[in-house]
Amino acid sequence: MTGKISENTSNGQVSRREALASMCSFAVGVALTGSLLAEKSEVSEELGDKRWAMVIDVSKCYGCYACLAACAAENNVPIGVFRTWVERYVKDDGGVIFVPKMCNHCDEPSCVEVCPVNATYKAANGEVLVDDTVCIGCGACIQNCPYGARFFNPIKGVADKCTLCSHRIYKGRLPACVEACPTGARIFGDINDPESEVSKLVRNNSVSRWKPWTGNKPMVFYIGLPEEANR
Amino acid sequence: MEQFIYPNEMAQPVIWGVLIAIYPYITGLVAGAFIVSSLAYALGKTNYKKIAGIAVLLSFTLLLIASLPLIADLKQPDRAWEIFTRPHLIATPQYPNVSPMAVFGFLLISYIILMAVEIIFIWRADMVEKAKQNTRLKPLYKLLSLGAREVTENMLRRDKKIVTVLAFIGIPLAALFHAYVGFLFGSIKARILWATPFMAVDFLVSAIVSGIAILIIVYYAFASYAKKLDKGVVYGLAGLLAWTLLIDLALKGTDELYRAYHRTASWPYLHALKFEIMVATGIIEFIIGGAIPLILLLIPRLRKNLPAILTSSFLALLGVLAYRWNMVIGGQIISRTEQGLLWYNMPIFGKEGLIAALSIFAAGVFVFTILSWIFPWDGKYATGDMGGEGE
Repeated sequence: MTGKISENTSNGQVSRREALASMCSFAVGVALTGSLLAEKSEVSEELGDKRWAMVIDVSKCYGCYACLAACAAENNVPIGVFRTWVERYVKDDGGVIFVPKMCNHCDEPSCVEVCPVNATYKAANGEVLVDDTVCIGCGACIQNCPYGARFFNPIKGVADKCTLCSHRIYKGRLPACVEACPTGARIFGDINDPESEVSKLVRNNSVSRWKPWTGNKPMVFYIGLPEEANR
Repeated sequence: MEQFIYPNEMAQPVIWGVLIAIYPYITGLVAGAFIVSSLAYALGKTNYKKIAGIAVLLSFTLLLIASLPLIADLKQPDRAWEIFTRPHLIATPQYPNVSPMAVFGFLLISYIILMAVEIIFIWRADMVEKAKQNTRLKPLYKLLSLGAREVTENMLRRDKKIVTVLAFIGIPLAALFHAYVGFLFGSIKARILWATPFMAVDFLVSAIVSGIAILIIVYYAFASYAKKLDKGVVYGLAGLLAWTLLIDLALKGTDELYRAYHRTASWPYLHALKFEIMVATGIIEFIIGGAIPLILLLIPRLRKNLPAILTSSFLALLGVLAYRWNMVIGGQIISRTEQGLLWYNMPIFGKEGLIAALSIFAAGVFVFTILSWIFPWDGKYATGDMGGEGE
């Protein structure tokens, strides 16, 4: 292929699964230890005029998949579907780039627009959620998510997606993936607060968003997102 | 060609399967058949009066089964009623979005009510006649004659007026009911194949194609069984079919041309979808079900040849079915990355399988049999009072 970075093929995806399996026990360990130590966190318990956002520093990710395993363990994500995942790109010189991806908790979420029963909605502080008890399982939101971040939960039979670990963030903790990340590649916070780390990072770096042309206004900001990964 | 898809698409490549492919097919037949019936009842085209009865019954039957594939496709079918009660229809400050899908229930219910009332008034005089005979269904016929004991001029005139008004309201409602399905797909902006303004119009035109085609076949079967076949009616419908086929092919061709000239990043995948993956259904859609019936209907010698007309009707029906398939399944075969292709293995058994889809059509045949047993398609008053003789 052309360009500086070459991507993995379907073979790579099999090896990713294998890697995931072998990493799983390690990563769950990381997540558990992390959650015990996570008393100090930058999110507050108050419900305010916040706008949750995440910054992902691609250069810091080294592909341990701890975020993925922590997410699966924290949220009971069934095998085969992903609330967050890590894409692996191989450069021509053999160097590897890992790009973590997840729901962008868009400001103008196209998934929310099409839900016929308002089961999925943008919550007070911008996180896009699904109400399990209302979702009829029509699949419209899954179709209209340009990021493939939604899926049918094969056990519950409803649309499922990343919740930004809202059960944790309103208790003053960090999302499981953020907490599990050993390199600090994922930074979570309130972008409305100019003093928060995400605000500073977005201000002081050249950040890009994933598929900005969809008009969804994604709220996950990437530092160093390679062009190949922006699709 | 590189392939790049999302991991969630690997687990669930196509989430709207065969059931959702037959749903627009059914609503298309509803709209197409109804519009033909309205040619007679609303616009007073007397030469279509003879098929107007069949058209209304067929349209109503398909309308009754139209929601079945949708409900069966839901992962939580027992919550289907929520689309009536949940707030996602009218924009409020709290819920600023309006979902096209939320409109479905209200459109369906209002259309069912309109057609039920129209059917009652179309056949009321016939029901009065039938109620005079001593049959087991006498109470039902009495009920359907709405208390009238005798057919009077006054009643006939009033009923006709009611039917005309309902048929008029029904035309935009039929168009809306089906064009909305196209709009629903068109509003899914994450799907490159669906997100085109052509969708609603194209859906409507192909709906009329399928509606006319199925009417030709059903009218031929019913009328030749009753030895009442009026060839003029068939020739008239065949002419309409040729025109709508022409418009349909022109619309689709324009859409293809636009895509070919735009050549966006996803073009290689669009091209591969049509020329490598869905070749068979593509040939059925454009050649077997599009160009061939059109040519058959344009050849002067075959234009008034019943077997040729029936063949082209059958092929056109097949072509529209292939169109729905290519649109619904094909749209999901292209990954949302727009840089890769997925796959669809149609399940045979199960809630979302082929047998479920066929059962829905079987239910349609059952309902149509019952309806055409109660309401005679060639009822004296329902189809006769305009005295049309075809061409």
